[in-house]
Amino acid sequence: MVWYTILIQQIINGLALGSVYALIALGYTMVYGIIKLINFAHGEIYMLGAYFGFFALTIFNLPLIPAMLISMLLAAIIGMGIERIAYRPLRNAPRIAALITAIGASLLIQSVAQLTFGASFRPFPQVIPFQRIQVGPIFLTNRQLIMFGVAILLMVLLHLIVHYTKIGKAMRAVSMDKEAALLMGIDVDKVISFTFAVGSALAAAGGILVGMYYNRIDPYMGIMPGLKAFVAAVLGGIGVIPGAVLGGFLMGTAENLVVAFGSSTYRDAVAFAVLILVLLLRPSGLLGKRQNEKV
Amino acid sequence: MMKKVLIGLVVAVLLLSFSLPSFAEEPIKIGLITPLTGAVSTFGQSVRNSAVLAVDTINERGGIHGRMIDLIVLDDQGDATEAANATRRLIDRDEVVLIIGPVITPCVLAAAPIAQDAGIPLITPTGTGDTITEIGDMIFRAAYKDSFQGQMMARFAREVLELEQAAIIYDVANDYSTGLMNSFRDTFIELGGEIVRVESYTTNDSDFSAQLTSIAMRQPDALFVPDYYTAAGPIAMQSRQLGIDATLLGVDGWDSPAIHELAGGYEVGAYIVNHYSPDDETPSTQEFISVFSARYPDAPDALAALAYDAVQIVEAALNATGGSTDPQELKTALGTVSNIQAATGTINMDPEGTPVKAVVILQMTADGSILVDKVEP
Repeated sequence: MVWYTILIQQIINGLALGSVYALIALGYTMVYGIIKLINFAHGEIYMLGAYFGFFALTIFNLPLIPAMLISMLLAAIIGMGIERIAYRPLRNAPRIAALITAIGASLLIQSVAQLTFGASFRPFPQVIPFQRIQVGPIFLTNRQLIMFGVAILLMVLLHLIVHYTKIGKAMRAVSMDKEAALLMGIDVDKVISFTFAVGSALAAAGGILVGMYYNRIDPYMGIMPGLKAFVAAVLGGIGVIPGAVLGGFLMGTAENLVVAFGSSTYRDAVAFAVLILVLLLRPSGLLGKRQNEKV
Repeated sequence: MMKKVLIGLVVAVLLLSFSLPSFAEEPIKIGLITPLTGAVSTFGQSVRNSAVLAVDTINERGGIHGRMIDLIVLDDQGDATEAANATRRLIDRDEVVLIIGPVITPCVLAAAPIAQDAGIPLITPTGTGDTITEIGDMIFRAAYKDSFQGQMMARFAREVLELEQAAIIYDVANDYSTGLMNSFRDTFIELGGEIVRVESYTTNDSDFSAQLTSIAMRQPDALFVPDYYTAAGPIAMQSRQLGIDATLLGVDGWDSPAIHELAGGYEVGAYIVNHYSPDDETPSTQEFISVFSARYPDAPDALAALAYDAVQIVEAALNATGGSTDPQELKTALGTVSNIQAATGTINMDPEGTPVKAVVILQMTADGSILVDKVEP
């Protein structure tokens, strides 16, 4: 096979992985856009989503789509719960306090998940029979297409919510200026809760997609994808929704190309090298607006 | 006043008479370190179940020279740091005379130096890493070495299956996987085969698509996957889905009931090297299987067989020392006991620490595995 078919094949693998990073990154970026908080517990919501999907599929024998919706709903509730319990009391505290609380929440959820679900790796039920789709010398799998398709669908849905609904308008208003939004009669708490709910639901969907794709879930599966999605959000410009999507796809592709043409040892290193480069060269990210620090 | 003194005396005598015999029959404390949770939990549970069964069997027969064995089980989660902590705890707090475990090579490599320094014999039932027994004279194992395992698989692939071009995907961060990769590669090349691609990943990766795509481009006729079932399962599945139709070759780390689901059934047809097969007609093997099946619902896997072996080796050594738990005597006995009719067959221990015994090649089927070949030492 010639080199460019290998390249295209690897990019396809990367885009499938990237679509999950993009889904997780959206949650980071939305929460940051609204309350300027890096929600480090977000990777754990993704893990919980995978487990909720796993139980819905195995114990309750639900078909894939209802299982996914239920998992997204439960994750949304947990996301709102974390915000209510861990972040809201600290809303006016220094930002570092909220950040450390987020790390604490992340560790807490990991440990509780290990206690309740057990630390063993679980095989994810193979609800969709595997199929290969050959396009000339290149091939896709139906699971890659589903991953990509579901991710794009959810992103379009998010775009519609943010730009064409009342709550979306309120979200944008709060992200521009919380105090002014409050003065205009917007229920800021409700908007923030809603943002956590949407972000968590997207992460849960990502968790199920990954479970299906890789056929393996465990209580620590959220750590690395969570960190990489965070880098994706920063790469795209934190707080900028299209930026998170772009960042996610770029990160997934970069990772796959590094493994394919470099060394797998650098799989995780590439993510953090990107983070350092972005922070040095373009701190506001690819699609972020340049802002001068106000003194 | 007199009455009180008398009562006191009677109580003292009673207490003494109760405590005296129990003093003489103080149990022999043995530690077991095994991953009951974590990424290789089925290994740990198999080992625990089997070791407990073996110890109970010894105790029911009246113990060793009248002394019961008290097995203290600790979970290391398959994590090297936890394994080191557990070793220290068993030696310092529980004051065990011997440690069985840990189960996986990286954990053994963390635990063994501590036991060696403390002068407490340690026997890993299942650790196959070559360097384990080089740590010191207190360190033993009940399994074969990885270099041997890798050679056996390469030999079988070249001489029996007549495979020409092999690719390897291995965990670069795990000594077990790396050691196997090396010995397989060297032997395969030595026997005239060609290694067309070697790809690596790191522990806990779940995406192997980039590496497997690169391997698929080379269209090998064999794919060697030297790792535990938690990685080997998904690799087997992803390799088939990415269009690799090579014969899958595995190792003892594949031996888990969980692999069938983790591999989505794609592991069927793969060949693995293993320590034992339930199909083996050897009387001591069949006896082990019937004892195990009488107590537990699942058939014993190789991990269970090796754990049983380890306890039997320890029993033989304790019998050889006449029940003495002196570390030096125990060490000498562990290195010299021979002709033990154990779960995996006849075992002769070697002062270097590794037993001399047969290995088997199995083929994975939809409901377990079948014995393809048994190679005597």
